[in-house]
Amino acid sequence: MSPDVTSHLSQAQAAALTAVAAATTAAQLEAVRIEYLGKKSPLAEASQALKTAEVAVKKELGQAINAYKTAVSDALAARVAEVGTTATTPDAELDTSLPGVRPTIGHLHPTTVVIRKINSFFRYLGYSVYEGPEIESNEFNFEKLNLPKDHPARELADTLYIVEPEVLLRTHTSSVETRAMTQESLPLRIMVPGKVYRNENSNTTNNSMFYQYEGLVVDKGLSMADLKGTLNRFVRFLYGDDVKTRFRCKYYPQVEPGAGLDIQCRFCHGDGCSVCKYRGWIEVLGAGMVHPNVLKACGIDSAEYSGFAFGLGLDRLVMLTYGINDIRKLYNGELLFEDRS
Amino acid sequence: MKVPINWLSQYVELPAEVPELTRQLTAIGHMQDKPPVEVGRDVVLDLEVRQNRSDCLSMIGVAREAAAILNRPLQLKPAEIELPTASEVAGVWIETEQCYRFHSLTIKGLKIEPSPEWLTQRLEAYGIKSINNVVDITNYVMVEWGEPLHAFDASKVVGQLRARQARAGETLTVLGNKTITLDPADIVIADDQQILALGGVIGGTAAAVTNKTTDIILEAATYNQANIRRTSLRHSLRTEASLRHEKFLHPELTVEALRRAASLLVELAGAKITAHGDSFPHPAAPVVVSLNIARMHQLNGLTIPTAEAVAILERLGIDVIEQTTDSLTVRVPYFRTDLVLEEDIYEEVLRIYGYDQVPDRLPSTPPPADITSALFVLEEELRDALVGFGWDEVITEPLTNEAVSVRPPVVLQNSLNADKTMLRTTLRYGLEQALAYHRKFRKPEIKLFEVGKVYFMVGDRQHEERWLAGVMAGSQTSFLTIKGAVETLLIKLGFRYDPELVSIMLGRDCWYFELPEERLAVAARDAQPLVRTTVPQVLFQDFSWLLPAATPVGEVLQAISSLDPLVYRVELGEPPRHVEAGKTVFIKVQYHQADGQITTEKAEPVRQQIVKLVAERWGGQLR
Repeated sequence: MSPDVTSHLSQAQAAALTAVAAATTAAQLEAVRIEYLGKKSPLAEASQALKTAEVAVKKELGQAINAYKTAVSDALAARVAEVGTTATTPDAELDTSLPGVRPTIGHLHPTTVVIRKINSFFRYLGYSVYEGPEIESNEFNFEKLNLPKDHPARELADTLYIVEPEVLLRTHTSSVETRAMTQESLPLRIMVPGKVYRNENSNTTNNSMFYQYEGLVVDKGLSMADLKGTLNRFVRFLYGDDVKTRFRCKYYPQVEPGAGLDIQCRFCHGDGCSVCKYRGWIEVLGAGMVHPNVLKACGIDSAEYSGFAFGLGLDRLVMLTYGINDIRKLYNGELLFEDRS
Repeated sequence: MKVPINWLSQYVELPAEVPELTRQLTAIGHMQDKPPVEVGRDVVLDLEVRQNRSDCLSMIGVAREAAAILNRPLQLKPAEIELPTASEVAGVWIETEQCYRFHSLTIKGLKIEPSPEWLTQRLEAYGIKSINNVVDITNYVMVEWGEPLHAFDASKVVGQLRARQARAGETLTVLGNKTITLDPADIVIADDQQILALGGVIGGTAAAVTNKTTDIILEAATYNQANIRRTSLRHSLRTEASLRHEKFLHPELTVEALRRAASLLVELAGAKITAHGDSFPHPAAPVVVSLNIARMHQLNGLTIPTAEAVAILERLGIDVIEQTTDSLTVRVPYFRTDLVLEEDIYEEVLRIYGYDQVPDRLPSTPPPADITSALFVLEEELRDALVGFGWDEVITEPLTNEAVSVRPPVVLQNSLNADKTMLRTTLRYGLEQALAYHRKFRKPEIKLFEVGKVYFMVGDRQHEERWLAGVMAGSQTSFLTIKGAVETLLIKLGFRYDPELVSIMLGRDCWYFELPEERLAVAARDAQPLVRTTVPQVLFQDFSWLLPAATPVGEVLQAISSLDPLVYRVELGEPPRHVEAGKTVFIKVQYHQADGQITTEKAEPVRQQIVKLVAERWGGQLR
């Protein structure tokens, strides 16, 4: 029986290939597929025969079936591709105006997107991403940052303690900078994005967890001019080349001299409005030359090295970019992405 | 700090336009906080005073800054008054190290009256209500000089005044009739019988000035600022006095403040100064700083001619006491308690010269080696791959309150919020919560992931680990779809799926997976897929087995795959079907020979091994 099946199969194969070549539409090809590969095709018959075939012929028949299947399927697929692209008359049965079957689109969290954007800028300037623990010691979070116990600036940071006063949740990403200055070799050029924590009740503008982004450079011969140039370029990168900036004196315990960088309010162009609290300017970055006490606490000789550091809160930038008006929504799982269609 | 412009203009000639003044003050470090407001005929600025500048919580402090930046003289007349020689006996005893100076005047023959209009207007523009001439003068001098003063009715003081630590259980009724229980860390002003004031914060009612008062003891003290801050916070008493005392006030400040108050009291209340007490155990020498001019130029990023730098310092009241070609030695005025190091002086020169004069440069040294951690890079790859497969990233807050923790949790000592008492031990609950919200969006399938840390105790140490986790939900979601998603993710990144590494569990109406990134980072990895330039020549073979129902088919596939190098690919032909005798498993094997032509003959020994293996290990029978 099996030789018959085998030869029948090879005849069917020749017929199938002819039919494939003759077909000019997708519908015709589908008909050919059903005839030669479908449930009542010579292939199905042969496969059925294979189940009851004697062991002696089973192997040969199996190979013939495989050969048939491969040859017909390949020819069919090739012809489908040709017909699909070269057909000059519209296919009566294929409505090409129907929406395609779309794979789902995934999305990065907006904070990740903004972090990546900023990373890309500093990466270009030769910075590495540096990370540190969120459960931090008093030493790296406060002591080494010129914030000894009872320093008034500690009051600003309402700290969440795990074991008071030694173990806490970092109140700023500056703790990662003291770690880098203590642990890494110099020169140093790092960017530090990360979660920080404060002990406060959450509302639309404050959350007990939020994101900061800080940068630190320690090298020989650095100055306020290097800091200013870096920040100006960064702010132009973020807000566009036409942004107006203001570099001014500002106190932070970790730096001396200390500086702030403001951009002119884009809503009132400096005249003062509710967005800029009638200042005409919006604070964007805190910065300065790393305080000699900080360098010393991290084992760096301030006679040989100097450093500059800068930082910004990320969440306000993210919220502004995406039109989100409640910081809690960023971090409670309630952001829904809707693709524009 | 509220700054009434008319009042300020008593000390320095101001620009005609208010915005010009606020611009200049902002540039040198005193940013406008709220916009200026009109009060009566005055305009009041609101300046943000940074933590280190206690001197700028005074009109004279702000005037000094304005004079320096405007380069105009400070018009400050010394108070014209003769004070009796100071004596320690006449004053107040200091019985605590937390009080640095206690300075007092005994003043007699006062007439309590309303204050003159100029005084009440200024105080009201600042935001303090006028009470009577004596109280107003103490408030006025506080705002003018930044040193809080307190007047005690001398007739109600019994014996000797002293500054001492409170004793446990002592109470005090303060102005406003609130009674507080004192803490031994609080500093109080007491006489021989009772407590009269909470030092640095607020007066008590016992010796308060009234309309009948004729004689007062006027005190000006300075304290350990941290102690005052804690007392103020402890008793929730934020006063104009505590606001100033919680920053470091120099003990010298009491001298000017008392002289000014005395002269006003003589002038406006007809008083006579009868005694002068001063307890000041540890006077300190003025701060002298030497600075290297070249280093100043280097750090500031620009060269300011030395003569100009010296002029700027003099404008700020910083005396240059010695000058060489490459160094300056300066003496810091007492009121600038923020100036200690030479870098502090660099900033003084620069801020008056102008931060806007600093050139715009970039560091000229080559970038150092990249020290970005491999784990950070891996996390970025995981994010990209998952987003590519249609997953959405969420970030959830690690502060939480888990009903059930999967590990011993790290607990917070002082959280304000009952929902945030600990750090999460798993990413699961946050993801499930996000999922619950996403369900409302009615998507047929939801796939959410988070890259984040979990925190737990290891013995008595706090520990944090970086994890990747995800949830999947939808009508088509099953254990096998989430497993397949993780398998594909790992294969895409060049890892092998390892059930030891990945946990998959049934969550709340979803499937949840998690994997520790630190362990993934050290797992074996093929950096890139195998790239072929020719289609591999393969031989197909199908196997159909009857296996016991409990056979782990994945292990069968795995075992066949690793049996022989000729085995190229092993796949399930169709899902296993359960039959009465067990289950039927249809497996398709492809053979390939890397260095030659694969033939049925060459594959035959392997085929036999496969059959033998499945028969011996799992009892499989070929069908």
